[in-house]
Amino acid sequence: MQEDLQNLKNEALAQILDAKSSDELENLRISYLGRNGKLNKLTKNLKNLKIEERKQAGMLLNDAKNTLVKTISSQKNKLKGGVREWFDPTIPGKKPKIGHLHLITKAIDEISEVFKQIGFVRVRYPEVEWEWFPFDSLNMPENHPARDEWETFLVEGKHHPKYGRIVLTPHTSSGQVREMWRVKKPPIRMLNIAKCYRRQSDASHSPMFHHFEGLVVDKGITIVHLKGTLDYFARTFYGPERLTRIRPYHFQFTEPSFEVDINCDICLGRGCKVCKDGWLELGGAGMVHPVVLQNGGIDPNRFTGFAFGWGVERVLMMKSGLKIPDLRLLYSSDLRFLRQF
Amino acid sequence: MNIKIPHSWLIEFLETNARPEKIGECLSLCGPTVERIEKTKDDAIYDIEVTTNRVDLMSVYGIAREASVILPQFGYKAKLKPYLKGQAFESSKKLEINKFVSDEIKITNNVKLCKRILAVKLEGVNLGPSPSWLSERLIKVGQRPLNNAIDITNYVMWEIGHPIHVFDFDRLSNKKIIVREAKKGESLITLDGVKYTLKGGEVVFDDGKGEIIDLPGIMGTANSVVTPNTNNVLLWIESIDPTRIRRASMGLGIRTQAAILNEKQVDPELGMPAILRAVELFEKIAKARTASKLVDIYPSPYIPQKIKTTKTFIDERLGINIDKNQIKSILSNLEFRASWSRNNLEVEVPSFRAQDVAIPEDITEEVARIYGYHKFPSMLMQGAIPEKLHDSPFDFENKIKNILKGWGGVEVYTFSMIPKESVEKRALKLTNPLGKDSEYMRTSLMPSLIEAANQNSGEKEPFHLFEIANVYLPRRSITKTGLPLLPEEKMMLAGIFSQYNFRDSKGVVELLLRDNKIDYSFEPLDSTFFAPGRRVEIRSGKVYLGQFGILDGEDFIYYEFDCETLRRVSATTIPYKLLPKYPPQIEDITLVLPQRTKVGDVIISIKSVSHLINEVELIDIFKDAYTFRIWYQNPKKTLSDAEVEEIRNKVLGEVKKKFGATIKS
Repeated sequence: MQEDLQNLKNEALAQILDAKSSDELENLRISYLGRNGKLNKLTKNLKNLKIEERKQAGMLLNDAKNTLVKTISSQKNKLKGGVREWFDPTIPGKKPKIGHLHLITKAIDEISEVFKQIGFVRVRYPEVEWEWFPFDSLNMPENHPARDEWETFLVEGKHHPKYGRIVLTPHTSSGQVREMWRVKKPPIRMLNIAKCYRRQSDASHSPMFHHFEGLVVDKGITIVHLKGTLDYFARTFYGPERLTRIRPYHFQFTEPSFEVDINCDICLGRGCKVCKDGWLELGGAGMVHPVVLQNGGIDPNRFTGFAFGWGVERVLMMKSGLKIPDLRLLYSSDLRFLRQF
Repeated sequence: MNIKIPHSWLIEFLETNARPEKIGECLSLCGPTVERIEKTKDDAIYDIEVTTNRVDLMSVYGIAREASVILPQFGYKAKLKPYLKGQAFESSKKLEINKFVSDEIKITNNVKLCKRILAVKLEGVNLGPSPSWLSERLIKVGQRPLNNAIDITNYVMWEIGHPIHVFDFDRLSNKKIIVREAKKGESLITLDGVKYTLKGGEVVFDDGKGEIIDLPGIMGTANSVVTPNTNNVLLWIESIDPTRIRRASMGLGIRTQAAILNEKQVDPELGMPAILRAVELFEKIAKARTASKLVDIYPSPYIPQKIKTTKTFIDERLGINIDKNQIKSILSNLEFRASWSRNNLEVEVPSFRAQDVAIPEDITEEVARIYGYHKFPSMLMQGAIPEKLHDSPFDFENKIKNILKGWGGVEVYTFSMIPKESVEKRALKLTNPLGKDSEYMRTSLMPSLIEAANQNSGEKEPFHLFEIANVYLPRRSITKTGLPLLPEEKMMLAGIFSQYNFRDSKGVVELLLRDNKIDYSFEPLDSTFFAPGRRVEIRSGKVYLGQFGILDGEDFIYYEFDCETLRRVSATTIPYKLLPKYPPQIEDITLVLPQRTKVGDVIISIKSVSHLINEVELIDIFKDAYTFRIWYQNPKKTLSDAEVEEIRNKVLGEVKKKFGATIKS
């Protein structure tokens, strides 16, 4: 068989190099390489060989095919009139104009997708809001020092006798009670993504930014479920080796309250130069305070819940190692920036 | 709020075998976050973030107490040295506590404003710089040393956590201190020489003649504080109502460390050890002698509040089972008194946690954090999944973004706040904007997109920017109930084309509408901001969808739609149309149109000639010659050439009559 093959190859090469026209070459191609060509006939014989010989013969066969294909095409280019058939596959393609979605949109899409898989319902609540919702409803009465943590923009306008002044909501937690009012009866699995505003502007703070808020209320919701959800997010959004840890913190609207860390993507929690102790701060979370449930019309003796609210920009930055030196760049419209993503 | 605690100071109250790094790690996992540990040549300084509910941790002693409970959970030895418990200072033996009035000074308290007052006179104060051990510690915690009298008060505040004040005794000329509310318009000059006019309601001390001699709990006044000539002092501690401290401190803008602590309700029980410690230091460092009894006005001392809860309650919130004995031991270590009776738990809260721990959930937190959240398992919840929002806008918005992206659009996010110059109509105004360039909430995306396009004036190639964002429209009306309403937040889609020609950009907008299966029409109509005669309104039937046109005085083409309206008119399900059994006849006709002919109208009238004309498209323009492609189709049969000719002749007759158009020969 090997001998047959060698002979066939030599015979074909001789004829190809002798060919005088492209028609002749095409006939040769069909007779040797075509579907019923001579090489294919040999291929069919392969199955008669012993297994150990089959591999060797197969390789030779392929080698012969490749040699013939190359020789035919180089012979074609040498022939007079070959120029007409000259084809340059290296010429660059003509690209249609390509658009770009903003990084924030992409991050919001991804976050929504992650939580959609575990039954969260995406909602949106007012950006311009009565102060009762971001503060009082969340167990932060007027003059409470905890309000200082949010440098809140106030809006001129009539005060509401019950809900107070108009503000730009400084976080998406303002949607917690609104969602309880909407759903009325648990289960609640809310994902509220919205623009938020705070009176701060520097390289790591933009006065307008985006938050996403998770709220789960049902019978028997515990800290274990909060940890489960945070870990699920970490694995799905950041990668299978990522996990979270929670540490004590304080918010008026959760009890207990937590600070959530994620293990560093470089050292996975062992500790390295970038993260120091292996963990990076992700944001806040906690078990919904009974007062908040009450404000939402839900009986805290029957239902419990957890909530978390984080910056879209922050989780985005931590994901991609984007290293954008100034967060405010996201809100500039510089095409040189926007076209990178 | 953050506090710096030097390790060397901490171990005066904490006996432990844990190294600073480990102390930092363990505290962060179960207590306050140690943000960093700064190493100096002979010490380590913890920078600790203390949450607003834990003012009891705002001292060296407070941190030592917390660490003594947490460290053993990680296998370290840790013991709190019983400094504040019973082992009073030498000096206290000499001080006879007089519950009400001192002979030296007459104090009139108002219990509503102030829970406790402690005072003692010291004489022969040797004023001067503090010894280096003391001033170095103050430097380490970030407090500038001044003189020994002031430094001692600061030192005690850092060590024990209760602010303390010192008056120049001789400058209290009337020997009276009356606690009262300030009246509106009264004024005082603080020790740093700044004059403040009071808003009324601040707690102040009056000298009995109407003069204010202190702004207690916040800052001393210039007329009563220690000066370089001070000889005798009155050491003073008070517990002013924290809400009043908060209101006064924020209202006047005086944010001293004392105010930051006092507004969070410092434990009045700390007052006694604090003043005794200060007396001790005055005697030791400033060579002072006690010259009066210790006054302690404390009409209602702390009675521990009781919280009742159950094992079931705790389990149901934790999701794990912590043994009853372990719960009790964690709480006792934290100085709560806990007792079980079967499933029921009763807890007495220590004074220093009184304002933080009030409900069963708080007890749950104390148990869980000391047990260690890191030891909890992690599991997704089960149970029913809530129903999806039925009329959710999100998918539609995403679809639009993706369509525009597909046709070369670049999405931008611009700020919702705009300067006054960009406001076209009544807009919401911020009371406290960050600057002039962001004073109003936008009512249109147009100014933001023009600015975005201008920002890219260096671009050589055509570009198309778009954004989907809210605009904020104030509501004039008030509801029937007489209650004001929030402004309307309207989700808008807008885009701007630069260096695009009119047809190319209009094509993108038309494709967007077609892709959403919207039946649309254009109507030329002028409006502000657009060049005259270069704007169209887009409608679906009678419903206004948006506008498109060339901006006046700019090189840009702009469009905008109300997203919700667009969503409402877009078809979500598309009915199947039977495939035509017979092929259409397609032909191109080139017409010469007179100047100022509206091609849109020509197409409409060609279509209206016969129901057998299925589709008309403009495919080419050359000078005044416009080539239209016409689809003739009869669903019931194949049209013959003669039939097509008949329709064509009607078309030509119609356009000739209406527009004076002739066929190009």
